[in-house]
Amino acid sequence: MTLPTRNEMNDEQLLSAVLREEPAAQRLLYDRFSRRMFGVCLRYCKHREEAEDVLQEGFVKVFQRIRSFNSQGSLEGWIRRVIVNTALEMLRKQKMVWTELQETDEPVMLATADTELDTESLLILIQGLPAGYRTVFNLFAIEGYSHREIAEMMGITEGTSKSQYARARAELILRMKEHTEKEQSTANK
Amino acid sequence: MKNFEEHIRNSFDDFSPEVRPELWQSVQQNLAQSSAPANPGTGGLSKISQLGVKGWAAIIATATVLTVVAVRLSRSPEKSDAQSSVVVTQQTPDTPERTESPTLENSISPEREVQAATGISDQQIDSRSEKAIQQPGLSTTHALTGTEAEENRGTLPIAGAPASENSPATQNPKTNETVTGALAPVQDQMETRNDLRLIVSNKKGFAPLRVTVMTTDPKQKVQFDFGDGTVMESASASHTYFEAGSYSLDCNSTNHRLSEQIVVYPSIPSAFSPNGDGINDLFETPEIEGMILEIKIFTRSGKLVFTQKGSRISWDGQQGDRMAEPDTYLYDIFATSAEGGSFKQKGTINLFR
Repeated sequence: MTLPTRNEMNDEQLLSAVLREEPAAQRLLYDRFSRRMFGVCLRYCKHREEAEDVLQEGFVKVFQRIRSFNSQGSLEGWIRRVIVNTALEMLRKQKMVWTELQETDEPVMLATADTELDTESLLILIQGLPAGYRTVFNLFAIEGYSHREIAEMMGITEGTSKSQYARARAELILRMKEHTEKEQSTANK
Repeated sequence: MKNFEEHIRNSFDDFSPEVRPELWQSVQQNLAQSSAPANPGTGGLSKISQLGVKGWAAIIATATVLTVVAVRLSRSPEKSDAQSSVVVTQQTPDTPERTESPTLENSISPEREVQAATGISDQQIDSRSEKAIQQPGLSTTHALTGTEAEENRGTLPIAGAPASENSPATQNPKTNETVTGALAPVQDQMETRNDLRLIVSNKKGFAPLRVTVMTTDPKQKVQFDFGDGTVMESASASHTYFEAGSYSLDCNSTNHRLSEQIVVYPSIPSAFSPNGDGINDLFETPEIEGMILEIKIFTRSGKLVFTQKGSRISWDGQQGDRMAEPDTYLYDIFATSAEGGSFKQKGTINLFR
């Protein structure tokens, strides 16, 4: 059987082609999702090289486990979960310092940043956060996991996840401001 | 302006950076190398089958350590001296390699059993952990009741325990050797109140293992290093170990350095499908050297459906003379090692057909 070109195939057809072990199907699936997933990997990792490792390892898992995808929910969502979990596995092996919120500490919740940055600059700022901040920030703000889920995934308490997020958010907003100020000052010169 | 989180999410919504084309080749290569795990749900099974290898590694490791112990014992005039030095030699190799090689970790864990055999460390775990903290082995094995310069406000949560339980630890000659020598005169005070100790919810168990740790001084913020890359700064902390291995849980503050060994055994599968297709037909626990397991499996309403005792548990999904219904079941496992250490763990199994 001949495969339709990649644009004709929807996710479902692509999935069944992969499951039938059509020769080119894995490649098509990789081509369809690898760039978006690389975007995910970059957010969780400090360096590009690390993100590449996670992407590779993640896609190997995607193909090894694709039979366990039960077709409820989107294929992309499932692949994304596999990739995120791969990133978390890598992160768990690194040293992550979690700071519990002390009773005396006020939860730091700056309202909003008054600046909006382009994606590239944001990425660099997120990558620059300490690993614990970065992880919780990504999981909560972007992936949309709840603090309870994050606590389970990372082996921490819900309270730690919350305080970690509050700090990460405040830190990021601060860095966004600094970044904008720096840009403005160079523009003025 | 927009909500902050919304701005962040929108920014990354269509973020599709360029990927180096070489990466696809390495994905393909990795897939080709690991062509075996192509079918679904082999996770649990392959883990168990690896155990054969791990088991052998464990036997070799145990034998080696036993030999070392024997040699040291025979050479050294003072018994306790020999024991503590053995502990040190065990710990050194396992720290740097931990993150790299899970297989190695597993082979290391039985060494802890050896420690138990030599009487250095073991104690009761689980709910009795508070008591366990006060047993002599603890602080002496992994070093360091610490330099006890600071006073401790005497607010030990375990203060109710009889003082006699404390005394062997501090009067034991071993302690004097591990604790910095300068403090010998303080010994009497240490017995009663200056002794900051770790309280650990459980020291052994199957992955994922949740461990809660605190010190005897709830007012003091310290740093807990769980030994797998997770570090928390707090008066108490909880962490879940996902990977099997032997971890050194360290607690650092300005005046103390305390340490506790946590042993995490390979995980127990959370699901099986006794339908005769050859894939995950049995619920099986990993086999651990020198450990006897006793399991009780209940329905969610609490009815006992299966019980077994042995070095390895295996359930085929039969409930008496009929097949158990597909459902979630609860289990209690009591694990007892030949040396007398024991722990208890609960979990759930999903039965599919």
